[in-house]
Amino acid sequence: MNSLKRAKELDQEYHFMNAFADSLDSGEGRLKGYTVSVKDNVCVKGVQSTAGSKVLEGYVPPFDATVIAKCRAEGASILGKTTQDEFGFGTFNVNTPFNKPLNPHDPERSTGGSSGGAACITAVADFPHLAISESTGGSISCPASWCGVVGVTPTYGRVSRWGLIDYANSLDKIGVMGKTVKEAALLLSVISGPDKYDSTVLDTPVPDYTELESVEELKVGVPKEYYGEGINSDVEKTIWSTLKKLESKGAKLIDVSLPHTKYALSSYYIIAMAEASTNLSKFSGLRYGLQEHIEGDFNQYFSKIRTLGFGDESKRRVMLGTFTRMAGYRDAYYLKALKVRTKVIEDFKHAFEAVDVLAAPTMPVVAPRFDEIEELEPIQHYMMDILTVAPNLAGIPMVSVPCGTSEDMPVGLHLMADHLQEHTMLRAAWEVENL
Amino acid sequence: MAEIAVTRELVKELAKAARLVLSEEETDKYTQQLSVILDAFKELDEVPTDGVEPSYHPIEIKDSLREDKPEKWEWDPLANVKDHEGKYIRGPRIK
Amino acid sequence: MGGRKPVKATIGLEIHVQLNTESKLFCSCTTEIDDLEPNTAVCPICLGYPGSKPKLNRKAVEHGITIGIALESRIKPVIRFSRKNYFYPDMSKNYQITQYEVPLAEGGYLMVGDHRVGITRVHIEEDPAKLVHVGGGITNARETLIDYNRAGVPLVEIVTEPDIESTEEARDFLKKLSLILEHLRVYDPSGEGSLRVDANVSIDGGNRVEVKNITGFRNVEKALNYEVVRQRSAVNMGLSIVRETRHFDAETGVTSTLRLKEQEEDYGYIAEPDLTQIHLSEELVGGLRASMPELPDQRIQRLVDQYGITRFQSDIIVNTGLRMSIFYEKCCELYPDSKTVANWLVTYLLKSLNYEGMSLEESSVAPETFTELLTMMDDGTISERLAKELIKDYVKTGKSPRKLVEEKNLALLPVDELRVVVGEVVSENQKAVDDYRSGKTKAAEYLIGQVLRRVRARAAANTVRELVLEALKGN
Repeated sequence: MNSLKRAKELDQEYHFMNAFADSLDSGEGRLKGYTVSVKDNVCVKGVQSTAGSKVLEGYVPPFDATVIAKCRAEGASILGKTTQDEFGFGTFNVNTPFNKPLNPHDPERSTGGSSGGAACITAVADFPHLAISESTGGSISCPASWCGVVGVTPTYGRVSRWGLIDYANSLDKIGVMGKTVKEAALLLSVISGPDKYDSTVLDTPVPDYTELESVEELKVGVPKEYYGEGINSDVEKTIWSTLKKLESKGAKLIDVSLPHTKYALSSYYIIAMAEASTNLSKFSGLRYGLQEHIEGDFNQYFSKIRTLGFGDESKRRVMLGTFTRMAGYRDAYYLKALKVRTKVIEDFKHAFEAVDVLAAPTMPVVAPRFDEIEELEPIQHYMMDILTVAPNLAGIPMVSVPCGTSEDMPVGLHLMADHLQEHTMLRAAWEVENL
Repeated sequence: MAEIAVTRELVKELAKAARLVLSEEETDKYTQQLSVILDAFKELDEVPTDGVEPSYHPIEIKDSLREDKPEKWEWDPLANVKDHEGKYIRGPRIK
Repeated sequence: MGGRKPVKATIGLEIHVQLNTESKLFCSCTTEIDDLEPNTAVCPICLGYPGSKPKLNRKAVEHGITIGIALESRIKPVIRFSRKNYFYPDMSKNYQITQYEVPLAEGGYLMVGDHRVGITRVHIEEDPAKLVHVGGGITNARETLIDYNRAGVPLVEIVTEPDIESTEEARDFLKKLSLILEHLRVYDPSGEGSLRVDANVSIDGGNRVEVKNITGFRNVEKALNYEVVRQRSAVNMGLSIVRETRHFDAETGVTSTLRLKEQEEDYGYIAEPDLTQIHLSEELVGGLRASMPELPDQRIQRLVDQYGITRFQSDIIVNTGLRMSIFYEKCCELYPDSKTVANWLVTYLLKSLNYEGMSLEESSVAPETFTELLTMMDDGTISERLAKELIKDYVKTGKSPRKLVEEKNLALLPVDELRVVVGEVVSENQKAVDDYRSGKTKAAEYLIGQVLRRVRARAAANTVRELVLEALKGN
């Protein structure tokens, strides 16, 4: 059976796709034989790309994102677009008018988000498959952890963002998911590197991340702020048991502190919403996506489209973002958050003077049930990102690697490394995978 | 951080600025939610940031510029447009 | 208007000028858009497509620095771009990428006569799309058609201090600025809408009114005059001036309320996260400073020194525009006497161009053909009088003077042929001949006049005089 047909069957059960490619083309190269699924916010030429929003319904990109062009050049078959929270605004992949994916380990639970579709298909695919996903504040780590797959978020700028429908441009990172560290490393090797279309991409040479071996005397930092209060004790137990095993293999566990962790959440949300609220301005019913009969003046027409096209969470974030950059509040919110971000980065830089990687639970709990999610207030949704936003805010690479279960649901260990230290980080993750 | 009381009027102002139309019910809901969220953001006041530079990006990025060479993008800019008149794209009137 | 006393006002200008790069500010689309069909010089970047990102044009930054240097501004060592957020149908992203906190340059001045007009800042930003208001103007059109060809063309914005004291001074300031930008080779004054101005106007220290989007010098003067008079009469009637933004309608010459200041959008600036900061290194700025093109004042002095022309002539040639002074110098390469070139250029060529309402670039006048006219006078092909006549046709048609002479058979008559005509005139006017011989020497003038009338301009007056006197002597 070909993988397009098989993926469609699985989608019937798990609802992870928003659009399928018409057919699979493959070629020669490092990804020969692999089917690659693409988060809906990464543009694929000729395939509807909505970023999970009704406001982009019907939008068919006229160009490939750079990562897609790179995948095609290495022989990959592009499968289609995986579902996500609208523009990446969410932690449970329920904030979308399109498909809401089901957790492969328990269909009453969330896959996590916002790259929920990507994690879901990565977990259930029984054909060679890799996923292009994207993280702004934890959107790769969270669903990877809850679906039990490997999710890699690279250093900010390691991978070109050309073709990524922006959430928050100074935070957005295209990353990868795979069933194994080696497979994820393969896709990361392919998509990393310079690109003339993205001004913020780094030109540092790309190593072959698939060269995986043990790291001698791996120094693993254990940041105290990521354990204890607010973390489910059974999840924490699973993490500790993994860390102990790692120690028995020769790794050194070192206590560290990241004192500004507490403030990362507010800093992150302020910056993310300020940038997001400007990114979403372009969606006004002209040129592409949702377009209605043009009537009224531009204020009336734009308001009609945006009211119709944006979901509840998008409206909330656009209004909050508008507030944080308003004259009179801008210094106290937007600029302050950028300064606190500097402090958060300094914490990490300081920690990485002594350790190779930092280790923590990826998420404070296992995947919640949909009925539990419905009870949560918006602020409680945001709180769920408490462990993932700081490294995302600092733009450091991170990987969530499966390390056992709690309540029969997968638990992910989060490994974080200094800027551009993906290779060391992936070697440590490979070590964890092989425990 | 300036004390900010999130009123219905503020929410209406924000909605207008963002070109969103809210029902009365939605206005109430967002007033309550935004109030809680903006209140939480105030914790940043606890972080001393005098003399701290803002981080517009998380990592230092080299200056990025292009050379001034024109290049035509081969595509159909009207392919996604529903309403156009000839090659003009139709838009709403100003007033 | 020479004698009229300028109306006192306080004016600050925000001048937007299209920089003459080959590609747009943040994408590689062409900026040669004047003759294109709508939406044909566009790409996903300037159309604000989801997933597209801007990439900054190096040339635009360099042009901005050059302008800053010419205006004696302080060039910033590190610059950044910002998003200026407001919804409007001409903005593909509903924000404009501009510079807010850190402009390219700050401070500086420009002298208008002996009055110093301060420069607040110089920055670069993207031009919005062009709107066509169908079935009316901006305030009452039925619908709007959008052409994004202009979206993303690089603009420099130059903001002045409120130092300008009259509409005439505003006009002179803009003329001088435009001439400087032209000399810097950063701006093409012939482009459609290539210079646009927002003006802040107040009188007697009253409220400031902003008049938006005035295109071209003539309109600036018209709009400002209207606005100053409007404010003056309002004050005279005891009305107060409201802080507002007004729109200038070039067709009617009238400004009208667009919105009150309190209705202004809060621009909610943030740093443009898709662009990096740009270092304007000492090396870069120093290099541009070292290779600064000659500015108008320097050029005026050089033409005087190099070509021995008067300051008055040099002033006119340079102030007419860069193309005119380049034209002049080219003519001097082709023709040995630079003073004659200047005389003829300033006195006759410019007059004819003005009469035809043409600029040099709109006409087909070229140095090769213009100097041909001078050469033909020297070698006796045509008379000076004919040359003065011929230059009108030349400017109008653009045809080479030599060709015009051939076509119309205007060349000077050979002396032999002329002598025949003289003979005829003399024999037909026996009375004048008799008068002359009886001592009324003025009668010769009559005969000369008759000959000239008969041959029209095809003979030099001096030659005719010689031949007439010769004939009178001989007879």
